[in-house]
Amino acid sequence: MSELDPRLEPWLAALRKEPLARPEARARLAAALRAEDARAARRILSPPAALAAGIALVALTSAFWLALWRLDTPERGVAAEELTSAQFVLHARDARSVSVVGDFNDWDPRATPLTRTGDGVWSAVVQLRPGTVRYAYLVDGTEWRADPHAVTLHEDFGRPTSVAYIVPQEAP
Amino acid sequence: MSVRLIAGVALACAFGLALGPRLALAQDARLNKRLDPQTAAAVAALVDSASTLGLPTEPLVQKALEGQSKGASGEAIVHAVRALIRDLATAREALGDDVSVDALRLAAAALDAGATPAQLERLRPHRTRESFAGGLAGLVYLMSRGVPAEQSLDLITAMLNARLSAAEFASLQRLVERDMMAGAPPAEAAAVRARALIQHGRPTGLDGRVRP
Amino acid sequence: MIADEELIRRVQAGDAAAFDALVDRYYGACLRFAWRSLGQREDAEDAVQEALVRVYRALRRGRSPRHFRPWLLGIVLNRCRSHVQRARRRRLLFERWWARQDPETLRVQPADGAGADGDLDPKLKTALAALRPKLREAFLLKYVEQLHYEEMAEITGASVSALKMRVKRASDQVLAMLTEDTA
Repeated sequence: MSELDPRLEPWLAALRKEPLARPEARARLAAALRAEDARAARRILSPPAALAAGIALVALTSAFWLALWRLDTPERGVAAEELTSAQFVLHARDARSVSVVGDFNDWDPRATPLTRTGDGVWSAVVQLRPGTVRYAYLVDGTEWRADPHAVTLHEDFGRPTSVAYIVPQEAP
Repeated sequence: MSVRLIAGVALACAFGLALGPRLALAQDARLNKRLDPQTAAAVAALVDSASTLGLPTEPLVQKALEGQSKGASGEAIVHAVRALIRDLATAREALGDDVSVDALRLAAAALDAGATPAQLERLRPHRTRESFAGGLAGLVYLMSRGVPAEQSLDLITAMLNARLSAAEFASLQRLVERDMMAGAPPAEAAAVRARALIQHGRPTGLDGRVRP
Repeated sequence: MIADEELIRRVQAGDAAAFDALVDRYYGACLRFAWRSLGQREDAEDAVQEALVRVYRALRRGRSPRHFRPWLLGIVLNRCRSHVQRARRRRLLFERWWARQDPETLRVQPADGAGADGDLDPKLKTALAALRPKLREAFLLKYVEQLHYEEMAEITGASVSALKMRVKRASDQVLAMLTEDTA
């Protein structure tokens, strides 16, 4: 049996101390155990093999349809409650047209025009999913401008880009 | 489209393939519509690789569409998508496995703004917090205003430790913007506002007095 | 205090609260081992969670380990190893892919790997991190979790003599690093 070098003892005392569990970690574990219970219950209640196979087949083809549909329209299907209103504003007195172009409209310059509200202020309200959104303003179809009130990242493709983080709405 | 659809459904029924994940690798229709065939193919290949590497693909598609709308060359678009993959992978390496796509994108932006992976790793212990992406947004904001990376990280980690919400990180941005417009240097404004948010959860003026 | 064997019997009979009692008893030790092995608290929590779910599943399916604590630590150890392998595999995949791209690259900056948790004395943390994984495992199981060599052999798959050698090498190395600037 190998002998423990006594010089290690003080260090081992520190190593042997049990760390305190974080409540969040314990909560995640509890949730995982409950999920395990649910999984076990479903196994007990599962229908006989043939019926299960039939259900699986329907599920597969549905998945196929859903996946195909998503290829063309990836952003739809988000629950309405998750969307937040965001207002895009640009001061551009001499502009004839302004649009906001970004991740939320697949960078389509024609998708989200701003309306002139008077005194050179252009604005639009858009429903956005919470999370990051990258965008820029396009003035008169030719001039790209960053949002002066948002974070501007270094120029992508030689044109400015702004990024904003849409905070999820708190539950009322 | 409909003939392919019917044939595809028949295939699914006949072989019971798990088509969900495989379909994600099929060429995104948006790339075909907006990019020239060569660039579309190159970007699709990159998106495919990213998917294999377990990285999110939507930010890559968006990057390509952004390039197209800004009139960039195919070469520039491919270069940008590749660089984004690298940044997303580096961000994931630094932060760990299950962080949200938003957090990864923001972390990639922080790397782009000059943060090092080692600096990002300081945020790793907070990655399961609900306000983690909000904290990263705060980091990107502070750095974009010229607050040095180390100090930005100090402030953001303090706020994350204090379990501030994403809305409070957004407040930090609003308040520091206001202070800057009044002439305050960003680093000082950030320090004061962050401290106040941590201590009170309510904004105070630069003089430290609590506003009603 | 209810013995492990009794709690296990109750879990096997479907008593979820009995498992909660086992978790309360052993979570700290599991976290301690995983954290010292992996170096990062978050990763350790994930590994411990995965391990405990597997333990729960196994017990519910009738598994009756002879000695609960070593068996449990063995599962935590496996989750830790799997975690490291996954991360390593991903990094390799990415580096290989990146190497195939055009060379006009902006530099790939590899991540540091130094954990930022303020839990242990930094010298101790560094000394542990410097150990090769198998040495670190053996060292922790012997001197921190205080298992017998036979138990360690069962859960690691290594022979008792190999483990003794690893423990000795690990102690020498750790001691050398901890005492080097006081020499």
